[in-house]
Amino acid sequence: MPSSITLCNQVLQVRQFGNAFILLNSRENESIFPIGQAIYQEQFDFLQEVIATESEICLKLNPHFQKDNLKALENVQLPQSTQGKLHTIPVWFSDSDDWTAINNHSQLTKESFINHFLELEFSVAMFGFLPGFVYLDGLPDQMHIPRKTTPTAEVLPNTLAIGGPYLGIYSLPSPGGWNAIGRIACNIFDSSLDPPMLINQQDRFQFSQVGHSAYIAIGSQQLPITKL
Amino acid sequence: MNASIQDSGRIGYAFYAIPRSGVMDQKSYQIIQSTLQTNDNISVIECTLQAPTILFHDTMQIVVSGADMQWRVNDNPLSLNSPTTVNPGDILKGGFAKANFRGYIGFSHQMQVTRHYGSTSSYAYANFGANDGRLLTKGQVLTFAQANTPTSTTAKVNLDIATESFTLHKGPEHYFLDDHSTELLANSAFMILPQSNRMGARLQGPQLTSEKTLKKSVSVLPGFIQLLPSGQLIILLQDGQTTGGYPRVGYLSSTDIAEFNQVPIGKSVRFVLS
Repeated sequence: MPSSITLCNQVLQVRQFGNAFILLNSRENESIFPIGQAIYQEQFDFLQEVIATESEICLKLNPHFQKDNLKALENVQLPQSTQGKLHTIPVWFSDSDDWTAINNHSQLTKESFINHFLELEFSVAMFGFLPGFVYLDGLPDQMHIPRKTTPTAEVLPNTLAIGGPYLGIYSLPSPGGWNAIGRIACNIFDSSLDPPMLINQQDRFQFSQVGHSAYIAIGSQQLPITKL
Repeated sequence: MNASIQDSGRIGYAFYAIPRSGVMDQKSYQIIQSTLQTNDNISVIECTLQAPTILFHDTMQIVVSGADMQWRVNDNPLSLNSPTTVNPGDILKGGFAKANFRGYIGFSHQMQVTRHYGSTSSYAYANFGANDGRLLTKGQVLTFAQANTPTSTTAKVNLDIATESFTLHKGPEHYFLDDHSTELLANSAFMILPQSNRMGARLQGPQLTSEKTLKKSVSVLPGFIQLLPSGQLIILLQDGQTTGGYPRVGYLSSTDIAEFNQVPIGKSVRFVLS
């Protein structure tokens, strides 16, 4: 069992846990989520599940996994970043109670926070937590807001929220510990489709502000949004 | 009544944070498959703690497995793990689980229910699978189509008695525990708390101490044992999330998960370090 493997020009540490799972970890700060997605898309028959976060790839092994199978991973290639789309997502900045914490931590009023926010561009950090949830990168340090100590019992679908360094989208209603800033007028998750996520790892995101009545009028469109 | 429709689970979508779901006790599920002589990914009814009452409108074979729920058909006792023919008008009943926690009802015919990502398993958060992911309710009608595909080569299932001691494999952050906590983990009883559900089992035991915290979210699978900031443990189960930020101090093998899921709430379990 090698203790490291080179995938997509990155040296990853390999830890095998019996015949149950293998963890690949990066020693660098650069995210390995894109490598995890590339492995997942190969649909290797010796892997039952692939879970990827920024710092770790978990490979759940099928019972017939053999050590030699790992060599196949070395042929995995990252997609070209030019394949990503830039989406502009309409958002209604709601009067969530969480704005108090956001104002306190960022030292910005709601209006100036929103003005800064609308100039930012985001990229996919990873998937995880619950179906339809996405972690986005792109918040400057000043806009990082710590997660709540007590989660909210029910976060509404398509809520846009900040948890630590990430911007997140809750596609489904669920409990949640992030600070809600608004709701997006589109679905990024559709369980009638396979794959269910309507966004790709290479995609980038900007947000446009809409008022409550426009938000209601747009409804929940699917990405990519064709008319606005 | 706490009953839902499950099959062997939704496999290959954890990348999108879609949990495996499916029967909590894969072993009882395999016994049902083998008793009904099929390898189909059949839909069964999983009954937690208490049995539902079911009126049959058609003739078919059924088999009950898992927890002994004192099953009866028209007041005639029904043995676990052996097939029985039911006829129109027959009523299947039971009571509370005598030992263990989850009972299963399997059918000789294919249940006609909604499928998401190859599985009929009910998963409440995303309304996936049978019955929009919800528990079954009184008065609900289930329909069946053709018979299951027969096979003569079903897996042989070991009918050992359920244990309350489980092999704990060291997890990726087991070394975060201080020496005293490592010892406590292997030499203490942990009670399964009432807040436990299909997502995870919350345990109550001695307070354990981690010498480090994780800086970033990491991956988690059913069977992973996380140490919460409170010093208590949670075992992630079939409907559990796929990423988390707590140290993964151990994990259970898939065969041990099936056994663990039969231990009733309020009982205690012990871990033996592998």
